[in-house]
Amino acid sequence: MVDILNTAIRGLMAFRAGMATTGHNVANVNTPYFSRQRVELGATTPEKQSYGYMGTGVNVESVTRAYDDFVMKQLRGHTSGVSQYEELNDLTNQLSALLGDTDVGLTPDLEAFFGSLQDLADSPTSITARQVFLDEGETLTNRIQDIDDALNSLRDSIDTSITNTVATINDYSQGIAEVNRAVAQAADSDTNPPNDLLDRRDKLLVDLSKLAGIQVVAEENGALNVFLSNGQPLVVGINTQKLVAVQSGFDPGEVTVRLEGQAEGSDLERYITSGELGAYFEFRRTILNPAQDGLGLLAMGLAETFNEQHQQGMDLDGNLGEALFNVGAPRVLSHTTNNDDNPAIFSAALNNTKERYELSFSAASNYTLTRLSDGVIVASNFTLTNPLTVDGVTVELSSGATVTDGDRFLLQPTAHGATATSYNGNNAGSDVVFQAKALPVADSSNLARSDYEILTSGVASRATLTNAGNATISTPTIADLDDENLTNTVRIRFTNATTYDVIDDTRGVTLASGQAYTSGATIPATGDYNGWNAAITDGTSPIQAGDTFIISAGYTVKRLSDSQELLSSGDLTALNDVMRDEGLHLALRGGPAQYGDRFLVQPTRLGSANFEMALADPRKVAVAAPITTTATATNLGSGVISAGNVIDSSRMELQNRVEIRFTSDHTFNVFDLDTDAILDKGVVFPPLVAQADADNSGTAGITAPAIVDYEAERLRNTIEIRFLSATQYEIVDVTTGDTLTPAGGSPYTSGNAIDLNALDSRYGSTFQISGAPVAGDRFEIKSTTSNAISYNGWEVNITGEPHGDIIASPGSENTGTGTIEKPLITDYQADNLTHTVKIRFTSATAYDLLDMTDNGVTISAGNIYTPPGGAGLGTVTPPAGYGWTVDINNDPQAGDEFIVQNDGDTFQIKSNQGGIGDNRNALELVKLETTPQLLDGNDFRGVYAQMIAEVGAQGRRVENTLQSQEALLQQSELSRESISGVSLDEEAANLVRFQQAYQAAAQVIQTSNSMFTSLLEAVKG
Amino acid sequence: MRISTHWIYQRGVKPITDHLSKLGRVQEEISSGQKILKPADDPNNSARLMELHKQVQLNEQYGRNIIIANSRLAAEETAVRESGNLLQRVRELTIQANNAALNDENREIIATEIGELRSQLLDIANTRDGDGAYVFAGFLEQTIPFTVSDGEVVYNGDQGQRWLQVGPSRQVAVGDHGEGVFMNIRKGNEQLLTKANVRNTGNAEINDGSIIDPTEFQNNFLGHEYRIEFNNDGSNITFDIIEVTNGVDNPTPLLSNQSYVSGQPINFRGMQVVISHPGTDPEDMPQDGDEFTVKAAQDLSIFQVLDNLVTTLETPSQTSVEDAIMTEALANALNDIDQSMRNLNLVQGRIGSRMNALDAQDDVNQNFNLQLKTLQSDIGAVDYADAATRLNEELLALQASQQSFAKIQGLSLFDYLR
Repeated sequence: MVDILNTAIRGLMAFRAGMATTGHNVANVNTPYFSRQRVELGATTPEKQSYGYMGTGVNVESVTRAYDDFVMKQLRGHTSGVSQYEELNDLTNQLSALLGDTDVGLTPDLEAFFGSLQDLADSPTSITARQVFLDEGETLTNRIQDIDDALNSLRDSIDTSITNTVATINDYSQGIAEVNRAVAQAADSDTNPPNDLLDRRDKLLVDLSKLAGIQVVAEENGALNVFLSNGQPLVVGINTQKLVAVQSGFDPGEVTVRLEGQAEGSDLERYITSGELGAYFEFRRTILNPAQDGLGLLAMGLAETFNEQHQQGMDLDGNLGEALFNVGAPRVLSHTTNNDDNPAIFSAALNNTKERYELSFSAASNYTLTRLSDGVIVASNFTLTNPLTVDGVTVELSSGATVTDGDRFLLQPTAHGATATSYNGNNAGSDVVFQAKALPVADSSNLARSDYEILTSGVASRATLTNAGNATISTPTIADLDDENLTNTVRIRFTNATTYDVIDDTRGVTLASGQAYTSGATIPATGDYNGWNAAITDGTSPIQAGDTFIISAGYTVKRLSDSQELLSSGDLTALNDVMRDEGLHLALRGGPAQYGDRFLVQPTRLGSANFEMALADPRKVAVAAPITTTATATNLGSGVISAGNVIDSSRMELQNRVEIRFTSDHTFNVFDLDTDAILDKGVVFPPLVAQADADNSGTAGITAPAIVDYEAERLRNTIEIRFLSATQYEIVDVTTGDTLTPAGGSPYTSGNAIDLNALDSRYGSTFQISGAPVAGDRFEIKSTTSNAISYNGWEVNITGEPHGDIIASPGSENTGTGTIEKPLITDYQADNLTHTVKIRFTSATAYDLLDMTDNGVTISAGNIYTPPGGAGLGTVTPPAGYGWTVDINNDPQAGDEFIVQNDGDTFQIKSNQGGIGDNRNALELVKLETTPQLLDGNDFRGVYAQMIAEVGAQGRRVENTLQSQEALLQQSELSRESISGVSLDEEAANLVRFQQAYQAAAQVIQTSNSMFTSLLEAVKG
Repeated sequence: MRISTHWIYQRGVKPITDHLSKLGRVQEEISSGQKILKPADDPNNSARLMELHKQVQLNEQYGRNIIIANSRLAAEETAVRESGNLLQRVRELTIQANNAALNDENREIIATEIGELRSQLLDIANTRDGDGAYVFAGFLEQTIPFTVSDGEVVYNGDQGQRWLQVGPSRQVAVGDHGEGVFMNIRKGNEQLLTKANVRNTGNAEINDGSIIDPTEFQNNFLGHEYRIEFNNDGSNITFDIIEVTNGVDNPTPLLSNQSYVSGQPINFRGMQVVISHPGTDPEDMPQDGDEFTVKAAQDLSIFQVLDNLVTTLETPSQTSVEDAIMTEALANALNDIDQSMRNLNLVQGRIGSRMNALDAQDDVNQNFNLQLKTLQSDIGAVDYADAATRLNEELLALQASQQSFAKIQGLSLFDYLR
């Protein structure tokens, strides 16, 4: 008999459970991440009766929660995304506010600074204007430093946030592990999960995903394992892995994240890409660092360009300008895992395009090339039969040059091209051809806004520049990576054509000597030296004693902004060649760098930190140009000299008094009046130049013409040399149309001098063509219109028609009837051509020569004078060095004097001391405002605008992504809510349902009771 | 789809906050007048605005520079004009003095006045501008440009000239150095100077001369002076040409015993002069000992002219020879004064054209400025009509979402159960 009571009671229990669950749901309507629970009711096992199965009531089978795993996974992912972009948005807005927009930020300070500069150019004598300029400069540097400080604070706060976030992540991990343990203990079957614990764990997981993107994997016992997106575990079962915030490998000031107990160098930064932690890393790497680099670039650019121009000017006291600004330098960081036993330390500096060199020659030790900024001998003991390229410059001798023992040349690149000048005046500077790599004026225009990573990746080899033979050495292969001497510098030096020694320079040890050489054979034949092998192969010219090959550490360089590899396993010289293109020069101390050592080069990160004014005294603002020019009032010609500008202010002779004196209408000499030196003689004016036509396809070059006859009638005509074939050429005078060469042309031999003067004496010059021309190539020799004259570091232009002449006149007290003709110049290169010479007759047939410019010193005495007619010509020829002859006719008597003197126009260049009204240097400084000279051809404000625009573009990207992530998150939240969320209305209905059912069940009990009572009544009798 | 209670509230509140923030944004735009409030709003245009801003500011600076340039040039022009007026007065006095009726005393008085004028001219030449800098001193602005040394006026400045930037690639000179204004004034016809000696008794005249072979002239003529000496023995008139170097005669004449024909060109050393006499009266022909000099033009200073004039006028002139000398000297002085005035006119003309150039550049700058400002407003300024419309839209939307939320959240089943 089925027990109605029991059935009813079961029902009662079940419905009470239902109501309890409903009550639980209602109570937790506002609990975050609560999943609504439901009682699963199932009918109990029926009893078998004779007439069939009788049901026995209801059972609560389980309490389940409405939950979808996939939706939760989506939710976690989008939560990470939204957190990430919210944080990024916040940080980007902060940065944007710091840098300012169109009206605030650095812009007003830049404007005020340049405005004060313009005002200074307008009123160069005003001390107030100078003071205002310095004040505005101070404001600008302070502002840039302030912004830099604020950026650093932002950086610090990110570091703090990372540390805090890591602590919170660890807390959550711990919480999840504990829940895992509780779940493992509490769970007894799949159908009776500890729902509230699970909800709590879900909440922890969502909170964790706000901080960093995670992946969740379920285990059999109900535990959830949590991994970072790269698979590193945070929680496994009941165990956790802690994250720690540590100093980054390169920069002790930067915090990064690692798993506790992992080795240095295994930073997790690149694997954490979402959540708040991901936001911090992304912001720092892609927005903050470039912004600080941009600011640094701006500061370095301002400092470089202003300092350079300022140092070309003259201040109120007549001194050359000093540096206006001080600025931070590029830095190179060593990684913490680098070898620290005699560590290799790099230092970086901006590449100096104004590097000057001295080339000297001695019979004993050939040529030596010294870099003047640091006195380092860049190359020594080399011959210049072939051009030498080293340190970014090329040196070669021009054809026909004769360099003798003791000659020294100063080689310097200038804004107008590289020049070579001779120190001791024995040779023209044109004996040496010097080419510097063409780099723009301002060093910082080359600085890519990127960091560079240098990895010591192996071993590299090189043949030294001064090798006489041209054998090559292969890239060494590494036989033993663990050899501790792998990257030592080793020299393979040939003692003769077939024998070499191997010397380890780092340890100072000879590894092998007297080794026999075979071209192409592995060195050493068996085993290795220091862990590497290499092979030397003959070239076209055999190895000679002294040829050396060097093996040293090899570096790989990667530019981080675009991940471009710039160099793969090159040595220090190759490293510098590559870095020079980027605008940097690296020097190495200590070392050698061991295999695996890493370095980070930050060219502009520190630029703005130390940006400050170096000048405080308004008198020292260099507004004027250091030189001024004058045309002598008594000049007879119509030559006009320009005001002059400075091209190299480092020359000590810059402000010496220099006189340009014309010896004829088309030649002049240049004298340095302060040092009493002849700077140049017989310079042709306007100069004759030779150039190859731009369309030439051959490889021939032409030298500048040498003047043989200064008075040649057609000296200044335009001459064209046309190649009819690779071996025949013709010469045409374009000005007159004449052809100088015979019909069919003249045969061409590379390097031979072509003497125009010999072809036709009206042409007066010779030149040389060498190389391989092809038919159709043309070369032109002509008088230029560009008449820039440059000595001592300045440059002037003379336009118009100056007059130069040498004249002779009789003395005032002559008693004889001697007459003197016009003197004839025989040597325009004579040193004393411009001296005044007195011819004093001691008798009718003898005369003395006195140099009146030289205080009347006697040049030569007792010269014989033969009157014209008969054997003599009456010609007076002074000794060599005076360069003229003159005829004296008729009858000079004893005591008669004749004067020969230079009558040419003179122009002076001298110091502008006292010229305080001059604003030329200020005008040049003003030009800096609008000259594009920084990255991508921008001027200063352009770079700043670009920086702000980039931050703005990032901000926009972040805003847009945030919006879309928020929309996605909303979707997943909606999905979750619709599955797991509590609906009060639904619960209200459930409550009613269970209540009614409870009442009904209670009624059943009542009925059962009354049935029993009825039965009892019936039986009592 | 099932909506949970939590979601109803979520769903209701979010639009309200969204609309509020959009409303806030429109409000900011309206009150600031700018469409682009931060670079993230429009990165490209944000950068363009910065560039435009820079151009506008540069333009304004050029405007300031032009004002300064104008004031300096005005100061210079005043000085030059006053100098011109002064020379005009001197000219009048010179003409006045060239009256045979005057005696030594009269001329003395005129000399005194000219002396005064010369001092005045010195003052004008030493003008200072508003900053206290000497206008005509070149770069040596704190040095007095013209001082008297050994009775002569010397120039102590240099030949520097200051330029100002008045346009993106336009510079204008704002001064001239004193040497070019007052000191270096070419005489004669710029190349040659010919003169008849005042003591000549004949009436022959020499023309200005001309260069017929420039090369020959350049090579051989320059550096010496030449004296044409006439010999007249009553029947034959011949002349010698003597070369003079540094004041010393060359004992051998360049040309000797040349026969003289009136009006016939005399050529030597690349140049040509013509000596002629009027009529056929033997008294008018060149007399024995008459001389003419020919030389290359030398530069001349205005002060020297005035000083020479004063000296000339102070020399007593009693005899007819002395009178003739006086007349000759006064005629030369007049010539020199004219030349000086011509030079001053040239300088004034240059100043005038510079000031014109400044005006033109100012116009260009201002037009450019207008364009820039228009562009700035096109890119960055808010369109008020559009903004007001958006404001209304957002207000409406906000009200609607607030009201709908109020309605929905009030509904609950619990309200209806008992």
